[in-house]
Amino acid sequence: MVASQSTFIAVTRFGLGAKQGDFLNLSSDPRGWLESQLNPQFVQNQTLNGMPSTMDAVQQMRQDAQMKKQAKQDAAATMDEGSKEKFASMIKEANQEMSQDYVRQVAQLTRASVDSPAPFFERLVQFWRNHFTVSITKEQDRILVAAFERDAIRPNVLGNFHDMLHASTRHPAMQIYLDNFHSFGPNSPAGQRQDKGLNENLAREIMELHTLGVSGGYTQNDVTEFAKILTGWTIDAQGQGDGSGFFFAQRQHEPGSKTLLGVTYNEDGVNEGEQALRAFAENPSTAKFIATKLARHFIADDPPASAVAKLQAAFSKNNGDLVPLYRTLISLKEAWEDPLAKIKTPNDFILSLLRATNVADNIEDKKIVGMYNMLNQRPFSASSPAGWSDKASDWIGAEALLQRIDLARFFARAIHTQYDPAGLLESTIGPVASEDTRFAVTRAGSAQEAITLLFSSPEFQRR
Amino acid sequence: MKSIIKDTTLSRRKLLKGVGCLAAATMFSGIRVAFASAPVDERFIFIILRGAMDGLNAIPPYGDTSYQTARNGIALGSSDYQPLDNFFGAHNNLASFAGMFKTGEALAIQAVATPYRERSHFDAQNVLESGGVQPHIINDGWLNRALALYGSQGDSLGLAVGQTIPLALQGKVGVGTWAPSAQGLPDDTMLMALDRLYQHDTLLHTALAQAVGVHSIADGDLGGADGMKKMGGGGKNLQNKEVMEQTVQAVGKILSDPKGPRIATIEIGGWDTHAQQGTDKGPLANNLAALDTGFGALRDSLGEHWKKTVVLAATEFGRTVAQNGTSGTDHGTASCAFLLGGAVNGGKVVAQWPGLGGNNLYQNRDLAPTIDLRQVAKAVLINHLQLDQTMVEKNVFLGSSDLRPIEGLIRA
Repeated sequence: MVASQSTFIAVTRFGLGAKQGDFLNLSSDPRGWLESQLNPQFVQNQTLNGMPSTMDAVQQMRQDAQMKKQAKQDAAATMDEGSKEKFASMIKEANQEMSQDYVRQVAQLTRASVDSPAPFFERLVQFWRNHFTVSITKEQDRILVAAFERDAIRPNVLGNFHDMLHASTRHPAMQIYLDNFHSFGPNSPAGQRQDKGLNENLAREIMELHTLGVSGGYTQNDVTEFAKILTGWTIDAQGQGDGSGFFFAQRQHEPGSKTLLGVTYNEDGVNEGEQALRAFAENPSTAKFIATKLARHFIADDPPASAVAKLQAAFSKNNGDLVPLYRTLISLKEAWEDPLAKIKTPNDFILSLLRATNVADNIEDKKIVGMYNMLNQRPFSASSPAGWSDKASDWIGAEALLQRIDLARFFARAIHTQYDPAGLLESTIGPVASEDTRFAVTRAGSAQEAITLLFSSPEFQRR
Repeated sequence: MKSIIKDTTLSRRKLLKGVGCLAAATMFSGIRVAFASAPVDERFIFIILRGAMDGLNAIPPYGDTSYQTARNGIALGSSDYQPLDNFFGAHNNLASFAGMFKTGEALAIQAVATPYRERSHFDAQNVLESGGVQPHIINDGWLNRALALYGSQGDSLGLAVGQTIPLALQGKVGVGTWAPSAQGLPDDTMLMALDRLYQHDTLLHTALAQAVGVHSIADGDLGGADGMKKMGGGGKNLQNKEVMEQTVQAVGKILSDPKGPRIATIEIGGWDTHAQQGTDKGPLANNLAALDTGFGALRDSLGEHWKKTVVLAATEFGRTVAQNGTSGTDHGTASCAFLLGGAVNGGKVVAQWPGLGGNNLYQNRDLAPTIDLRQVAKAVLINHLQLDQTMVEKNVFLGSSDLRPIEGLIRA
């Protein structure tokens, strides 16, 4: 049976790229294959075994901070140069260990995506972890980002949008990344005593980037009021909370009533924030914002308004339940039209290379992270809370293309003795391969060149 | 598909080597000569400071009697800046800038902003780069539209430093990108095969052609792949002084090539100092030092071309005047911009100072904007790049005819 364009779209656009045999195995019912991945039982992912929980990470962070503080004090107290050096190297080692943990965890998440029998689910995980961006540009987050994906994102991808928003907002990685853990109500007991005040970073970005969107109808005053509401939402550094890593510090919370989007929130501690997040999740602006991003990710950089409208309606009608939203997405005819409408991000490109070649288990953790580095998309390191762009113009420039070709060459060098280029072409881009690409791959001077060209081709660079 | 790999001396030498076989000869039938004589000899570099720079501590208005009180706790102390005049100073880490200010090659513009008045980074950067009056009403960049005024000669005049092109340079006119990279161009055979492979994919084909054009100039001067390796690949971390210096030296060489590009963008992030931003030391001070290193390296590497150069460094908006609850600053409105280069009529701080005291703050929290950044950009386009004012107002900064370019920024 000849695999169809629909199979290619299911595997490449909705999934993370073809593995050997995918086109043949899935060609009878590509849409049904996508649907089957929306079953929470099917996607229980054992490959995350051993990944530290959020509470483990918070404990490690606390021990780490205590050790460093002690080492700094000890170093300051001693006059002996040898001891000073010893303390300095202790701090350095702790930092290296954090970096190594990050590298190991990114590699583990990468392998989980590559090995997964549910790549559509894995793509949705990556969509949402990018929507709720946390980033190691805040160094303390190195230890927390993988736990963020494990505990705030993955359990909610097939759940409800509000629950994911709630989990993300409470998570220590987000509290650190957008500065909320040390935002104090200026009139709170702790704020008064320590002379500390508001930081409005998280409040603004929740409205602008996680829910309503920038034109979602809020003002600077709403940002400030929501920042007051969120005071006290912090990290469970002392182990006083419910084991999730979150703690509500009443002494840090701004007292009094607040007015947000025209609604008065009477003083009610942590419940004010809970209610505000609920209201954001239910706001029609949020439905529109999420629908637009989803359509941009799965259809085109400038998605058709008709598709956005259908997704928006599905989001609202189902009160933010995500599985019916994905079902609507799969049913959109616009998503099945142009098989090469989207450029793969570097992340997509790397995962599709690893799936095509099945070499992820033979590549060192450091080299896996190195590939992302090379293409400027190291996981959890977006340079802004808006996350990575989903538009071709932000990913394809002269240098970016050279880096992609170089990575294609790296893979070709590694695997050219094990694969027949023509067969690899069929198993990765067969249903949509153009005459130009077939010509290039069959006429290349060597298997290595042929595979470099295959992985550099428009059909492999797009989805 | 028209444009093919750019024909510079090096690329032609490299490519002709490969024409031994029949396939290669047919593939290159489409080569055309580009990088002919450029229509403009002036250089312009736009440095985009992403994240909202705190202009009040970059160019502190120390003479404003409210500066210390309004900035409670994060105001620079009197030993943290050097005076530029009897009212404004420059942060100590802007030493190269201050030096150029004294020799008349640099100026600052204070209390300047784009027309955008909200506080979203991403919308504000969209306005800064698109040149529109609101976010997302124009899809291309003002610098690309300026290049379009050179007609077909505008192709290959623009260069984005980085792996991809920022919105400011995106648009109809072809623009190259360059970043220090470890491997340079693929070999000739591969290039020719790629050229054919991409012939029906405009996006990839254009990127390939631009890569060949720019690398032909850059690679020769920089010790090739080995020289680049230690700079860490993509050259993305311009907040590191050493990376900044080496990257900018290479940019200076590319812009010095007689047939090379004339107009470039450089992006530097890390200005979003919500917490612990510091005064004489800290994240803001470190970023200013990296930027200042870039200023100095541009001057040095452009050599004789510096006298024909203008550099504009600007950010999307400023930060709150008062510090927030975490010894940082939140999103604000007006900031400062830097203008430097041998063609700049420097040695002054251009401002209509709104004041920091009493009721002078915008929405009771931010430095009030009194100059529109487009007044500065228009002056550069019209007085430095010699573009026609009517065309600039019609095509680059649409509907800005009421907004006069500031006089006296560029040497006559």
